[in-house]
Amino acid sequence: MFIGVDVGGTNTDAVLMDGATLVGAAKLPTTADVTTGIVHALTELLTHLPRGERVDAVMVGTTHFTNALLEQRNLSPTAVIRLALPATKLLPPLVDWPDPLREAAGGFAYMVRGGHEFGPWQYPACSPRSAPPTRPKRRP
Amino acid sequence: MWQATEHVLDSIAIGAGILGTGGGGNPYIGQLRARQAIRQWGPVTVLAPEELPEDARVVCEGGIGAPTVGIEKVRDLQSYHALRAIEDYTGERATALISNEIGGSNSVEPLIPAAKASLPVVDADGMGRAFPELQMKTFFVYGVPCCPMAVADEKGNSVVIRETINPAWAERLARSITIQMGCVACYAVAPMTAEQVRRTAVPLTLSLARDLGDAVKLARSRSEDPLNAILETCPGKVLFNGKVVDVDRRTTGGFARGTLTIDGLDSYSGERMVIDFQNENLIARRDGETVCTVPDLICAVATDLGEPVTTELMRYGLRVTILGFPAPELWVTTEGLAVAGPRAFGYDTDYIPLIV
Repeated sequence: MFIGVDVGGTNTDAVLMDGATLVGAAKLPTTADVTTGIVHALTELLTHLPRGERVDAVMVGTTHFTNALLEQRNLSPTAVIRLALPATKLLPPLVDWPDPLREAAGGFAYMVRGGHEFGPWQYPACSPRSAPPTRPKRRP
Repeated sequence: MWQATEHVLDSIAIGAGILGTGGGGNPYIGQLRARQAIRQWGPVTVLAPEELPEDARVVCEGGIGAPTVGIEKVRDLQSYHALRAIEDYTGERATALISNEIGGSNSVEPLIPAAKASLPVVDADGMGRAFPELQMKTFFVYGVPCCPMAVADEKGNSVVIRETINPAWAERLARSITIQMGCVACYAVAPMTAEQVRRTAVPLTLSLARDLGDAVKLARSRSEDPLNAILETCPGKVLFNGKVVDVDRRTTGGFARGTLTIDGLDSYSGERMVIDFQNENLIARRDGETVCTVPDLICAVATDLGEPVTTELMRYGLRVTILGFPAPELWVTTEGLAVAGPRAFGYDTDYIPLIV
């Protein structure tokens, strides 16, 4: 069975699905921290889970991610580590993010050696002793 | 003569996305790469073919590989390394660069090595659109040798193909090398003369891409129909309008191949269009009837904003309008159709020119 959660501005909706069949549903107020509201909804929803059945996946959709990006508030410092060198060097991570958003998320972007080719090859993996990751310069 | 600054790149990306007929590599990534290069090394001078000095040595540059891979393993300075490899091999320094095709990211590929090497680029290309295979260039159709040719990857490997018995063999060998390099590479062809460029290139296509993008942006800012703006800038016609209901897409043999199925809306309601692609859109059929084929251009744009939709980003549910544009004249000849007509792609149908 699968659970789908939609965190809206007012309510958090959750449904328990068996294929295309609705098994149970829960609607609870969205909380300021988002997670508590999701936990409340999941707790209520799991009372509908038939004995002996298990949940294979939980999918959460929310506008909060978009809202956080648009408002650029309450963003946790986040690092992007791209395993790709020597490929993709000309376009470091975050290259086309608007400056205020990049600043709000901390601007931590790194590239290290590694990654998979399309095909049976692999780039040499990075190791703690490999060259230090590159951090892109802020553009002028 | 004009300057390619970072501010014209977004217009070129829109226009080259349209002219790319689905292929040519992702135009947004091409735009970002060219922007990085121009920020680092400065703007690039664009010369019309007739502005080239008589003793010009013009190297054709382009990306080769599958667009589905190119959006993940984005290209770096491979075209610069391919340029250096072909210069080393031939002993001739390039004095200008030219794009292999005006579609997608390939339209701006030469701007990257040009910025780094302080060279101008020519306002022209070898297709006037995009095609999936290397031999499908007006240069080669009209007698410019395709070899020697250099192919370079991001790892530091470069290969020079010294000679092939025909351009199709250059494609086979370069494609095999590209697959070994990880399905993404860039190539450079030995220098052409100014006379060869003027005789065999499709002229003024970089400015056409820029003008198309400018027209789309202007229409959007005025809340006018961007599709009309496109058709007024580059004469063509609407072939279909609808919603994407299926994209069957595989990355095989170094290409993105498959079919796109669209169910009609508005005046096309109840009808279905199926488009075959091999990186680029090749043939469009409406309810089984062929309505447009290569070398004419079959272009998918988002119906609301006129944003071109390339093969690797096409997805279920998009509302798209399919536009058709007549091929550049250099393709509509016996020699041109032999290389890039429907039969060259394995279709048992003759080319029927699109009437605009």
